[in-house]
Amino acid sequence: MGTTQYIITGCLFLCLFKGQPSCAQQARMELIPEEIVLGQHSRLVIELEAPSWGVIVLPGAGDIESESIEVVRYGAPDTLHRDGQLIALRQNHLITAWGEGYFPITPLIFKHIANGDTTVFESKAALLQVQGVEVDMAGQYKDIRPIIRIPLGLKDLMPWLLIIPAMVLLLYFMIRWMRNRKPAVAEESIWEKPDVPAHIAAISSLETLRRKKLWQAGKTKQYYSELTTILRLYVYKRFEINALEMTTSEIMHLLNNKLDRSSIRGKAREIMEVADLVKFAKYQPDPEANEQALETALEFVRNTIPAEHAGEQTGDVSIAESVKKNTDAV
Amino acid sequence: MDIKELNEKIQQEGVFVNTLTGEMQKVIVGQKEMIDRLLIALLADGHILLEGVPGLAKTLAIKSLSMAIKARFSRIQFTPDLLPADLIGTMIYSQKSEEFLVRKGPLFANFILADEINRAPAKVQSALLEAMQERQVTIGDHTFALDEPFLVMATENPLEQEGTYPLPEAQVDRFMLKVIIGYPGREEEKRILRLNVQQEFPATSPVVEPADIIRARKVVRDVYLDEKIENYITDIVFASRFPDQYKLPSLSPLISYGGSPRASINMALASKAYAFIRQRGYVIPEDVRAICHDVLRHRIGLTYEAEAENITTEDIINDILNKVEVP
Repeated sequence: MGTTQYIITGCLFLCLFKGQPSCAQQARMELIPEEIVLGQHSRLVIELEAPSWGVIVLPGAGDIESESIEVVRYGAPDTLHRDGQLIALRQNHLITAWGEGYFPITPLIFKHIANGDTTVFESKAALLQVQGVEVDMAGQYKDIRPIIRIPLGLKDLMPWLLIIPAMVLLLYFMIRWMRNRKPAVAEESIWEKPDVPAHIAAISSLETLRRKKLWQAGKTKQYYSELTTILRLYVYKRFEINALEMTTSEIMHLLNNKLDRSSIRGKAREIMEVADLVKFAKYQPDPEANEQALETALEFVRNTIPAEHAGEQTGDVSIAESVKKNTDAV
Repeated sequence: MDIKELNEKIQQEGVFVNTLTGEMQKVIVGQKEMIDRLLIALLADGHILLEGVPGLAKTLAIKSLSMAIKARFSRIQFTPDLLPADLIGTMIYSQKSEEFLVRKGPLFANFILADEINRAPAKVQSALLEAMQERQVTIGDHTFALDEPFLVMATENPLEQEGTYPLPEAQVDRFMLKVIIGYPGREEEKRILRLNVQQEFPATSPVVEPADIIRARKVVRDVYLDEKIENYITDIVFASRFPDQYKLPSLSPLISYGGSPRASINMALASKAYAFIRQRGYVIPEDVRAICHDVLRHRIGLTYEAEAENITTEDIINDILNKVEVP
């Protein structure tokens, strides 16, 4: 056997043991274009052929990047061809370089892993040439370009077309609700009027309280609270005693000096003490007592009308008219 | 609990109040307010700070109270050289058993009279005030709960302020009430005189068990406090903090700090105790006003401006009470 025959036989054995696909792995790298101006991008095309079984490990962006080369967009692998034996893949990356000169891209390493064996193969190196931009220093400076205006479309306006009418509607309903709302404290208005005598204000407020039908609605505590507030306001205006800031006993003590008739004082005491029990001790008087409390309060006010209004006291008609006028105002 | 039921319970559990007051009045002439305040602090589980010149029966009052309740009484005279161990106790080495044994201090009693509390340094004051707050004392590795009822009555002498250690605001806040004691009236003074020059000074007899007090304290907690009264208390305390909001702008430059939340709590508790003493199952604004000065006077800080104008916390509390609307 000659020397040539031994070499051919050896290659045949190698091909038998290693298998046919191992001979088919190859990778190619190409830059399009190879020459760019500073700031432009170049396309790095990688083409690869490998056995169609097993796993292929492709180089990442970090493997391509170097100190001067940057991957602007890392392309996903695209299958060009596949059959039972081979698979052909292609990747398109966008790269650029920050500086003038020649920048090499080192050979990229690929791996094929099948049946626990890893085969490593690599592409050839590539060279990117970057040219600088010539600046015309003699020319005139130009303004910064204005912001480009994008025309508004229906899609941009749609949220506003919905929000603005909704806001207007909401505002309309709020204004309507506020206008229809009843005044919070009706009594205040009459007590603040300087020309309305205390007894008129008190009787008007008591009549208003009667019409509210609070205790009939189960609001006994509120009923007595308002009743005593009216009485205190009356005492304050009529006798100049700061009754709003005083306790029942303090008010009664001061009224002792202002009122001669103990029966009248007794009426005030009776109302205030029952009201204290309702307000602070969960006491629930019977309906007759609730009605009577208001009558007693009215009686107390009528019995303490000052002398200068004595004419009105005798002529109940004029008081009634005044009360009606002020109650209507409330 | 229904108010009617509560009233009945109070009448049943509060029988001792009149007996106790009567027993104390056997030896103390006048000072009705002080006796009332002592009972309030006792029933509301608080402590009391008394300010008054010497000789106004402060010591006698608490001594009589402890004797009438069959409770243990300790009097501690606060001096600049007093140490915390003199109050709470210490560990002493026993040669016989060859080990350290706990020797409890005078704080282990039901009623403590801390006489002239501002004469002792801060560390001693702190030891007492900590015990007041925690109701327990730690000596070495052992922690001991203090007996119930536990009432501390501390006194301050408004005279002779040299060399004293005034209680800091945070410490003084721990007293539920601060009561100012005034001189007795002319008739009362004559009765005191007669009582003290006769052959035998009357003695107080035990009329109440400590268990009665503990039971009464539970009833005091049940006294009904309506939301309107809660609002009234809150308004008073808030007016001391933010006078502008209560139409009292003139007070703003006079108050450096207002009542703490402890003021609100103590005002509510003291009002309940006051209502209990008056045999009522619910609190009314009169109760709040009755104890308001005693609860607030040590909790409102005055500015230099107020001090320069001789304005006291009493004036400020009066202004607040005259401006805050009663429910």
